[in-house]
Amino acid sequence: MRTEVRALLDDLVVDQPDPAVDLDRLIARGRRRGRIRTAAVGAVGLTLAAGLTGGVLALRPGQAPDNVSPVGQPSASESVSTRSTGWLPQAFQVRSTEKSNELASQIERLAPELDQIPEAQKSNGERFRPDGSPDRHLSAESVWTYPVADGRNMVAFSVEVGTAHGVPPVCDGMTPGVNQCTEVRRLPGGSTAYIHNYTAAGGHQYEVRLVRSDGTWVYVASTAQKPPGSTHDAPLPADRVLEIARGITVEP
Amino acid sequence: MKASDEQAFREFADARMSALLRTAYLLCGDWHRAEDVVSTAIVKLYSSWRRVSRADNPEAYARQVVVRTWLDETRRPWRRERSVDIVPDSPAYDADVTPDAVVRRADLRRLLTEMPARQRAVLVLRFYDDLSVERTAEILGCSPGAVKTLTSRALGTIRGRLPNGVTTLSDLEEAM
Repeated sequence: MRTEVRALLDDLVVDQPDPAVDLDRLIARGRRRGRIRTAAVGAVGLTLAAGLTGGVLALRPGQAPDNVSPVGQPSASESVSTRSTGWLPQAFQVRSTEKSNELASQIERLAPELDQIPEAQKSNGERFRPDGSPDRHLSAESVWTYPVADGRNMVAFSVEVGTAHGVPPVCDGMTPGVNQCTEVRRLPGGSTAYIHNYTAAGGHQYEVRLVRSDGTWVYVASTAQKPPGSTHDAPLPADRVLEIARGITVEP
Repeated sequence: MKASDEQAFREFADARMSALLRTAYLLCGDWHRAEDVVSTAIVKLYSSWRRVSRADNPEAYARQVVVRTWLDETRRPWRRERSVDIVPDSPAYDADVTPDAVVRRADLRRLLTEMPARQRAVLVLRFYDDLSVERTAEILGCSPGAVKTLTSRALGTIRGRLPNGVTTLSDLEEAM
């Protein structure tokens, strides 16, 4: 079977087009990435310095620290929609809309614990299919990554809401196998929750796909990659993930 | 990065680009997306080139970055694939259909894109890149036992799509 599968796979790539990858452009991106990293390290230093300064000001009588804001942090009035999603490949670019902002606001109300994710990068967006089909898709997430001894830990909380046309994979029902759901739960009102909890040395992920009776769906995931030495786990436990999925009312 | 290091990186990337694109294509099922994945991987490799160049096998390291970049992308909410989420247990083809109409390139491509990401990754790493179970497990961040299970499931999926009475591709060729 090995040889046969190999032959089939070989056959799939026999028509490989000439690569359109511009190495010079990628190297330039790599250089920029290096500069951004260097700047980020500097910004962390400045943030710490600003924090210490704020603390000192707060301790001084007669001085309100309200006007002291950490360097590099968005102000409270800044909309999440203004945050960049420029790192997304062009083909998957999404844009923030009124509906995706509404989803983000609803998540903030339903999951106040997310405020405890330090330095979370929040973003939201609405995705449209380029062919103009009615498949619509809202998403919002909070992601924080930090370096660990030999890699990075990514702590993330993601919510998606979509129409019946595209359901993201979570698990394959209760049939025994690698992708077996942890639980499939029928809920009042005709919804079905496909629950998949993954806990292993390589990371923790609690996710649920809630398919509503009208076919629209809500997907919620709470994840931490947890490489050795990391200190932060998935931001919300499994039961809260399901609770939040049930609480999302935004329609795609 | 020093000019000599950058030159070495450029030569490495130039030499390996096509192979990395092929691996990425088998994972993604789309050449444009494969280029996105490899582009992202190349930028990451550039950023850590000093470590990559000192690795025992820089090519294997590069392949690992490509696979993990792709897996990361499949996990990102707005990059999550929108193909069907469940591979049907029963053959998708009519048993009366002649074999030569079944295992065509387009069919296998579709079958691959319908497979769960990790099954597909195992298939590509083990059967296309000829990696061992242990090395595949290392790249995917799982146990060798899980790789064996995923392999078995992936092969089972392929077998499940073959017409009745045909259990291997050799049988299929004979039938043709």
